[in-house]
Formats: sequence, C-alpha cells, structure tokens
Amino acid sequence: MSTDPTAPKSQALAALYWRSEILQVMYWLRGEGFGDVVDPGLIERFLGVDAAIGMTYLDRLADEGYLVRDGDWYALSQFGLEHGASEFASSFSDLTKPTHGECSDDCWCHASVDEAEACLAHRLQHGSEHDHDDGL
Amino acid sequence: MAADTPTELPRRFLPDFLLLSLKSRDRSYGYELCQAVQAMGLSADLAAVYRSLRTLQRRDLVDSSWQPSDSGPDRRVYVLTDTGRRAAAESARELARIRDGLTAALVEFDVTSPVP
Repeated sequence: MSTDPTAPKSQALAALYWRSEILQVMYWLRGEGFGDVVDPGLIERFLGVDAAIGMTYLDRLADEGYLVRDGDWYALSQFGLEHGASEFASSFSDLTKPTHGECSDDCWCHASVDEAEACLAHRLQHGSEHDHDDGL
Repeated sequence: MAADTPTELPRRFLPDFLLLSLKSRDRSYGYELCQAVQAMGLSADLAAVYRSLRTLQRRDLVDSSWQPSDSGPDRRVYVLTDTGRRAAAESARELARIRDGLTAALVEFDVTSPVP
C-alpha cells in the first residue's frame, strides 16, 4: 500500500484519489499546451511522491473510459475531458481539504472512518506523524 | 546575468519565486511561471512548479480556476490570495536576508570575483 503520507491508505479512496490526481495532471498539461497524448513518464513526474503507485491506475482509468491508451501513451477520452475542471473543483474539494487536526492538515485521515483507521495503523507502524514532500 | 547553462533553482526557494512572480503579474499560468524563472537565468522543473502551486493553493496562498478558451483547451490560471500577498512580502524579505548573508559570506571568503 502507499507510503505517500498525503495519499489515502484505504482502497476505495485510493482509487478516487489517484483518478483525480491523474486526470488533473493530464487536464492541466493539456491546458499548458503539451497536447492530448501524454508519456506515462511525464505523468509520473507530475504525480510526485508515490507516483509509482499512481501509475498502476493508468490502465484501470483506461478500462473505466477516462483515458485512451495509444501504445505506451495515454490520452484523455471525451468522457475524461467531461470530468475536467468543474468536476475537479467540486467533487474533490472536500477530499483535498480535510478539516480537523488529529494528524497534519493535509492528511487523508480526515476523509473517512476507514481512512482514519488506516492512517492510525500507518502512524503506529511508523511511529510518527506524516511529513509532506511538497517543497514548503 | 544569466549563465549559459541555467542553474537549477533550489527547490526550497521555488514557492517564494512563485509567490513573487504571481505578485508581479497578478495572474499567470504554470508554464508562464516556469518561463519567468528561466528568464532569470535559472531553471525549474515544470512538474515541481505544478506540485508547488497545488501546495500553495492548499495553504490558501494561491487561488486558481479554469479559464475557458475559444481557440484551445481550458487553462488553469493562478492568482494570489490576500494571504498569499502577505506571504509574498515575507518571501521578499526572506530572500533579501539570504542575499545579504550570502553576499557578506562571499566578501568574507574573498570570492566576490568569478572563479576562473
């Protein structure tokens, strides 16, 4: 399971989290003029910590119709595009802005009971609160 | 003066540069912010810029929205929040303190001239 302190540890939220992260990166890159078809290596760089975990979701997103696979490269499908800006702004805002503070503000333990339990187990195992590799 | 080969902007300073860049131009885009760093003779990884902008937004220092375009895909536009403006002012002071400290150190070590 993920060692990224900012990523969710429960399976269901992890899938939501990585779907959001990957689609946001691809949508953002498209807006910045990098085109519709993206090299997985580029996506991985943008995902940051624990990107390798996220990369395992690419084919799943293709299976679900959000992405189209073209050889080793991926593109947003029309369905994926339709889940663009407004979807990210509304649907995931609660998940990306946890509100209470047993752990750090960014921790996924605030998202659900399952996630809180997974986070607690993670912290007990590693013996500390999470740290964030975000350059700040 | 910009060197022939851009020096990579230390990651520690990237958020400060992004805040100050946004302060100087009111609103901007990811790639444009990356180019602003390059215009100073430095380099910054666009992926690091992307992640840093997201972190700044989580901390309510930056706000963003998708800007529709008639001629191309939607583009994410970033602006400073009021808190971000105060943070940018503090970043400017912090960078000036570091500059002064480094300048003093270079004088002390007598390395103010370019090393051949």
